[in-house]
Amino acid sequence: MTQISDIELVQGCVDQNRFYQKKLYERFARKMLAVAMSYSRDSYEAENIIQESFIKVFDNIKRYQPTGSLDGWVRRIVVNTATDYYRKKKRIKFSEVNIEDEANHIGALDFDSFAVKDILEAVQELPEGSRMVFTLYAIEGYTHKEIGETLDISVGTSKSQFSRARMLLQGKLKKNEQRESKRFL
Amino acid sequence: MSNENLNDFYNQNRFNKKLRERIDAYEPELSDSLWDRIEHDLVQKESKGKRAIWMVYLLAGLLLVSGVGIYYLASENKKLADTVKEISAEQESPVPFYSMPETTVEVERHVNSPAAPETPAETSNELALGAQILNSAVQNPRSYVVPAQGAENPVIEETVVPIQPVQVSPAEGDIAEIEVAELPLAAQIESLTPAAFKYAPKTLFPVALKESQKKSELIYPLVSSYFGLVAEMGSNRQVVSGSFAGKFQIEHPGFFRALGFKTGVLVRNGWYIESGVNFTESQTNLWYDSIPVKRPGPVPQGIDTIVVGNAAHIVNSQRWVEIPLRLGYLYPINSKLAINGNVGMTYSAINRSSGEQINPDFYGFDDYSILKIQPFKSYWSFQSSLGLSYGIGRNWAIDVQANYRRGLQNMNALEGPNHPDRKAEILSGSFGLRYLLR
Repeated sequence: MTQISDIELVQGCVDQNRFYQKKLYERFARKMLAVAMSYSRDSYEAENIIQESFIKVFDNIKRYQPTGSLDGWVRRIVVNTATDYYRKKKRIKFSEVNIEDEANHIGALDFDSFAVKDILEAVQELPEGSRMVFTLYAIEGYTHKEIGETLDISVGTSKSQFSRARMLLQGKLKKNEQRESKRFL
Repeated sequence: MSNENLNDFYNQNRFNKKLRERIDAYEPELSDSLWDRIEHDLVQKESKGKRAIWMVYLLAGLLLVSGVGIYYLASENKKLADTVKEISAEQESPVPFYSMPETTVEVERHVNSPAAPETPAETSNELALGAQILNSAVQNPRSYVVPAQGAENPVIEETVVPIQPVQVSPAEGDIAEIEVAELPLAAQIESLTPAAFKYAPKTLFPVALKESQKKSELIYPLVSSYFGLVAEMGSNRQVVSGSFAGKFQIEHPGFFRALGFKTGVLVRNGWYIESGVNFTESQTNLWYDSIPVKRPGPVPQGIDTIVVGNAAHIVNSQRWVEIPLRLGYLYPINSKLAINGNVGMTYSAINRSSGEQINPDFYGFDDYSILKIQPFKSYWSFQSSLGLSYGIGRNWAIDVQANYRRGLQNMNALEGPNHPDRKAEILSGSFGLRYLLR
């Protein structure tokens, strides 16, 4: 069966054709769920974000410009939905953390030894503020200035939250690793 | 940058890059129901769009019908007013044939005799005789006899005799006298005889008003229309947001306010039909507690459970567009004041609902302060109003009314055993200003 092109998909969705809408969902939903999981507390919340995001995708598909990749456009909607979801609706409390103190604890992490699922689970266990900053910085590649503008926080807060997230993530992953190794002993 | 910091920078970048690559490549399993939920939302949005279009058509139709109706009634009323003016003007013009003025009139020639043409007879006596004959003819047509040819000419005296007006009862079909006094147009029309109304357009044949209604400035004997603005405020009980695991336990009435446009037609004997559009905002106070405890003793009416202990407060706001359709009646108290009552149905459509957290310090409340954008909902409610209307001049009226609405359908957005069923209830007072087209 031939692959449906992005242009066909977009045109079908513009025409509100349910077949093409489902095809677009099937093409991107799993990948976007991984993105949403890094912003959410659990997979239930991640699915809520995906649900809201795809509704926005279908509502705004007319505005999509074929000059950019469809994958990137959908991803941006998912990221914006996730940040909106928490910034506006959940009122995240960001507390200042002393960067100097935290920075001393940051060490190199060898991610190759962990499954992505485990990493995402550890990310989901982070406090909301730290998780949001960590995901935007580490996964989406935002600068701290952009994060500050997106989440309405200072650059200093963004940096301190990121440092805190890394420290906590490292601790959680190591703890999980130790637990796993004990299981096989 | 020191070596230690540089190492950390590189480590950090490597960390980010690796993480990004691995997450990009990761495709977790989706739950089977996710597409169904998205499709459900899409269907709702599409039907919302269709309903919105339907609402636009409905509003456009209402405006069109109102506009055409108002234009038609205004033009027909103008025609009738012109007719009344014409009739009035005819009354002011002199000498209906049966009502001659009390004055001396010169008559050029009296020609009831063959001898007369040769001799000018422009005298007052001749005139008097002519008037007597005419009067005789009017009073008793059978007694009027034309003198035979060759008969003796009457004696003519050189005196002036004033002619007395003749009182004659108009026969059916004649035009009666119309007094054009300083009365309102409605009263002028009311005073017209049936003969005058034969000039009025048949579609606007006036309603026979009762004596009490004739005095009222608010009730018009012709079909007429009005339009105006209305402001409303009061209290409401509407639950639109869902209860989360039964944790919203107390619901207090909240503030309700509305601004709207109304238009109506006075159809018969003080009866009117009214419609319009209201833009409303209503709020409901919801109290949340993690451990709801029923207080011993009687529970006040309208409250499900009394929560004892720590609680947080949410004000849930909803904005609605309402389209009312009412049948009303004006009962005149005096010329300016009337009791105004109506009953009807109101169609309400929601466009937005939100919850506002009042007590942010309450632990764990964040999960329940989510702004809820509700899907499009609509419902019908029964409504009734009672109040007073006061006429200001010929064209303006003020309405002050108490209003009650009760929804015919439950308003709950979420379903569940712990969610109390509610029908919207609104008790409000309204102030309206109307312009009457006459």
